[in-house]
Formats: sequence, structure tokens, C-alpha cells
Amino acid sequence: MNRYLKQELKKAFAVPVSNPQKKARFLRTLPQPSIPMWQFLLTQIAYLRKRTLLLSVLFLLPVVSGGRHMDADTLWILSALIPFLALLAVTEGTRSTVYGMQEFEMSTRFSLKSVMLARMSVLGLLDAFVICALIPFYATAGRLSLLQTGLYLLVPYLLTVNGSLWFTRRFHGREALYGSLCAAAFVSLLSCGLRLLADIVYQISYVPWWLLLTVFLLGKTPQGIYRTIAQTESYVS
Amino acid sequence: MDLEEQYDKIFRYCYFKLYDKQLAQDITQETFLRFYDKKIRLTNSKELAYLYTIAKNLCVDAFRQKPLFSLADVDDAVSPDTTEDLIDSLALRNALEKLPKEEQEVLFLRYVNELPIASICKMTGISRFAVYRRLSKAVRQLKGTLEKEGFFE
Repeated sequence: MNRYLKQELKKAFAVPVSNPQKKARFLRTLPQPSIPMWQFLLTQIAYLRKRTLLLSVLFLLPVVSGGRHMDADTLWILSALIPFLALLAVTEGTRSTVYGMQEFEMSTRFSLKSVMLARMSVLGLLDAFVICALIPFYATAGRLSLLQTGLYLLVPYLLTVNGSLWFTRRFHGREALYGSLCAAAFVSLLSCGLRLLADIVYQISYVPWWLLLTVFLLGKTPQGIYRTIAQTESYVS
Repeated sequence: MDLEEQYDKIFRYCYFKLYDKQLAQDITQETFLRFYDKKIRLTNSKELAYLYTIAKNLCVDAFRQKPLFSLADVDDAVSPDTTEDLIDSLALRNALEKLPKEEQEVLFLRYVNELPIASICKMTGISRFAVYRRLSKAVRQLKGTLEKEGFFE
């Protein structure tokens, strides 16, 4: 069927305009079923940039390659790189703030709070999976306990997350992105510096301190996320 | 799927069935209420077919209670820009009137409401092949009638 006939058909079947006020009132009060949490998370995954997810999964490359090129030093290399995994998660999770998209996000069907929380949860779960998958491999390669390896990977990750969130709250637009990048670079350099200049902190006797720091940072992270989301919403309104 | 767009399409469908604006609007709202009463979300062609089936059944119920109208009774819904448009439009309406109601419906669903073939199949309970066959037959007849009257080359 050609386009002209289609258009003419539409005209032939044209209807009078339905009462717009009645329609708007009805659609506003229409009780739509709520979306299940898993389905909501799935819809949000579609909005995450594919390159972010891909880069996050790239951290698993040593595991996929079977750990053939891994030795004792690779743990410290990864420890210096892990802040960038955190950077990816934070900048993606707070993209609305970084790129000034809050108003756009606020106009969607779901609240900005739910959207940000869902995206951060997805990225957090992905990162948790990546770190958990890396720990046994690096523990074997570095001849360290699982606890130590986990702590040496988690502390730089959580430090970067907290630092990046702090920058996201303090600055807006590109400045927040550069701030987060600085936080990641600083933690990465700190990790390298500690390994080269103060190797003593990685000895078994310091594990309780690392544990304490991890617990402290784990406690601070949800608080940081909550404050970032709360501030984003108040900034928009 | 855009709810407002679907609302308009269902309203158009009900109007096509009943030619009564007020009744079509009431049935459209009743259709959506019944659809959401089942706690279903409007996401794909299967649910769209279900929505149209509810509308169709409600229209059939309403149709039994009111006198018969036809496409020729449609009032000022169409407002052609020129006299030539008016003649074309009337010729097309007359040609449509000559088609069986099932063919009018399938043309309406496919080309006016742009319903996916899968939804039409589910709604009408016929196979994909049968839908295509009915569509091509309707278009052929429509073109034939218009050609006879010198409106389509």
C-alpha cells in the first residue's frame, strides 16, 4: 500500500477529538501496577553506558586468562588500578549530576532518587562481583591470605568511591568529573607509594588497622551515597 | 508504550466500532480500567492485543444496545482542506463501505492504528498468513473500487 493511500485511510477513519480534560483526568488517576524491583533494575541497566560496563568487566581479564602472567607484584598493580574501577562506577552513577541532566531525569516516570539508587546498585553489584572474582586469584599469586588480598583491594576502592562522591557533592558539571579523577589518581599513587616507600603497612601485624579502615569506609559509603542523592534532589528543586 | 497514545488509539478504535463519541470515550476508559485491574503492564504486542480484545468485547456489548450506524454516518470528524480533498475523502469512505466489516477492521488496525501483525493475529484469532491475505484482499478491493470511479491510478 502506498503512502498516499495510507494517509487518506487515516483521514477516512479520522475521529472527533476526545475530551482532553476528561482524558487527562482519567490518565492521572488510572491505577497502574507498580513495576517489580528486578524489572526496574533491568530497565536501568539499559541506560548505563556500555563502555563503562565493558571497562569494569575488563578488570577480570587476568582471571579469564587463567592467571598465567600473574606474580606477587600484580596484586599491587591491581591495587593501584582498582581506584579507577571505583571512578567508573561513581561517575556513571552520578552522571545526572556530572552532566547536568537532573531536570531531564526528574521528568521521567521514576523519581531521580530511585533511578540513581538503581544505577549505583547495579554498578556496585558489578564491581563487587569483579572484586570477589579477583580476590582468590590474587591471593594465590601474591601468596597472601584471602582476607589480606580483599582488604588491599577494597580499601583503595572504597577510598576512591568516598572521595569521588565528596567531589560530586562539592562541585558540579565537569569540575565534579575532574575532581573524581583526581581522587582516583591520588588513591592510585598512594597505593603505589605505600608499596614502594612504606611496605611495612602491608605486614600481617597491620591487618587489624586495614580491617578497621575497611569497616569505617564501608560505613561511610552508604552515607556518602545517601548525601549525594539527597543533595542532587534538593539542587534540582 | 506511551499510555496517552494508546488511549487515543483505543478511543479511535471504539469510535470506529460505534460512531458515538461519548460512548467511545466511556468504553475507552472502561477498557483501561479493566486492563489494569488484571495488574498487567502495557509493554508488548501480547498485552496490546489483550487491550484491544477488551475494547472489542465492550464495543460488541454496547453495540447490541444501540442502533446500527455505519462509516457513512461519521459526522464532521474529517475536515478536508479543499473541495478536491473532500471528494477524495468521500470516495474513499464509499469504497471502504463496500468492504466487509472484517476487512475494514483489519485495515483500520494495521494502517490507521498501526497495530503490529502479531497483535492483530492474537486479537482476531487468525493466523499471520490469514491477516496478510485479508489485508492484501482489502487493499486490492479498495484500489479496484477507487480505480473504477477514477480516483486512483
